[in-house]
Amino acid sequence: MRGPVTSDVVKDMARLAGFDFGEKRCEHLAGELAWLLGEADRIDELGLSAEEAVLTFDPERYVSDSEKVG
Amino acid sequence: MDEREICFLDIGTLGRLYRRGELSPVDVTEATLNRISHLDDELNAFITVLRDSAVEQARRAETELQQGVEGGPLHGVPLSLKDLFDTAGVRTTAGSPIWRDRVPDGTATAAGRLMDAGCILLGKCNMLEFAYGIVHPDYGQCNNPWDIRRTSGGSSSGSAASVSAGMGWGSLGTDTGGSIRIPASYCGAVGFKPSYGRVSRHGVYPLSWSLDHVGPIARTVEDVAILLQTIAGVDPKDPTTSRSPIPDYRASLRGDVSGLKLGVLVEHLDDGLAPGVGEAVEEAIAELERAGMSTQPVHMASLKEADPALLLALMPEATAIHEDLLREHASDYAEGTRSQLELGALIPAVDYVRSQQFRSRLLREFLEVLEDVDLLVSPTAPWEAPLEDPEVAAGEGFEEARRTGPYNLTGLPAITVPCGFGKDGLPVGLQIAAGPMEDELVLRAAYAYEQRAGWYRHHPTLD
Repeated sequence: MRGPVTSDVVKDMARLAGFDFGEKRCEHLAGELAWLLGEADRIDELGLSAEEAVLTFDPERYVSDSEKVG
Repeated sequence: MDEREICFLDIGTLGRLYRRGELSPVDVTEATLNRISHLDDELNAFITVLRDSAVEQARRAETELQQGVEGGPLHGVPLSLKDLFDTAGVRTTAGSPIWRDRVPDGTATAAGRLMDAGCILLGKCNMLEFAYGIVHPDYGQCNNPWDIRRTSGGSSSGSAASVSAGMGWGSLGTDTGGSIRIPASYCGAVGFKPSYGRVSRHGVYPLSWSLDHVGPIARTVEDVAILLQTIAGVDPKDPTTSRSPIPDYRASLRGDVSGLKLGVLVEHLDDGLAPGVGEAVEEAIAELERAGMSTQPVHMASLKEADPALLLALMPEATAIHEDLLREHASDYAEGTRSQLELGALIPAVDYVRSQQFRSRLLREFLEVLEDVDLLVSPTAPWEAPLEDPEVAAGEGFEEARRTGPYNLTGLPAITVPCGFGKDGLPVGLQIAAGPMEDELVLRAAYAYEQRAGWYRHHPTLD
């Protein structure tokens, strides 16, 4: 369960990332971030297991050795 | 033939007329530049028009053609580039005042391949700022040639609008969540996002390393195939490019399509479509059946989560790319671009990683579905061109990219081809997609549809 996203939380998170967005922008961003993290929860709820690797595109994945060009 | 008719010829016809001496690259280039002068105050499709150098390149092509130098199908053909592609010695702004005066030293690989093929560069096209979904007010909206009160879509807005309006035979765009296909759909053009790794991205300012694709926009599928043929292939400067062989895309267009199995993505036809869009797409599917393809409905459970996955992958990558610019030039970005970049700094790393895990699951589901069918079809966008582009990180932005984004998440090839008009009389696009590196199959099916349906003969009446 995530905690509430307030402008103070945004300010602290921004500082951790090395930014100072200013008071007003943090208020605005708090609402947007709360919405975005709500959307992120939809993926969290899928319960992706440790076995599900991140997607990496291997440019050779669909190419046999005999087919490679260049 | 008057200037307007010339400007709407296809690339193959233009080349034949060049070689028969019935048209010359100089006359054609000047006609196109005149058209840009005449129309672009209203459309705002170009940030930079390269009149002098275009005419100079046309003169060179004309001399070569007169001398019998055979430069291929793009020899002497006027084209444009989204202003995200580096062009040595030519200003490249990315649609942002931050780069208002930036002149790169090098040229993007894909752009260089076009120039090496003898193309004439007309100019650099308007776009959403840094391809991130927002118009910067300094450059203004690129208006739709079918209704100039509306947007041409984005982010490759000027590329799609210029091609649709007969201001060049093609353009290169970039597509991170639909930025080639959506504007092409809104403008009644053909836009192709090739397989991930098919076209080099070197020299194209990134928005998201794992989602960005480079691809062509043109008025016909055959013209798109000609452009793709020229730009595709491995590039030592882009380690993500594939060494898989490149088929003869143009030659294979006329191959047999009967017996191909078409999957109709139910989740993308079900809801959220504006009146007229679903009907146009269903009629297009019926046309594909008449061409001998079989259709079947297919379901993909994970598509529901594709919207947030796209944002959660895109936003942190975009912020990582822009970090230095954001620190130094925050107030110079459009407000929406700035907010999105700031938000990207706040997304927890675990949520970013989850989105990348989700992409593996989504690709697996696509590959399972593609064991039973050869191609997938859906509307490209849920509606006709709106008045303005919706923000990326918002409900309407989600909806706009819902049908295109999954192919960025999975790297699969997907094209949009015009399939009629909606209730407001504006173009509607049919999206056709296939498995990894099946670009040739996508083009072949799109060509079969296009030739039967004939929508490519319709052009906006701006003159």
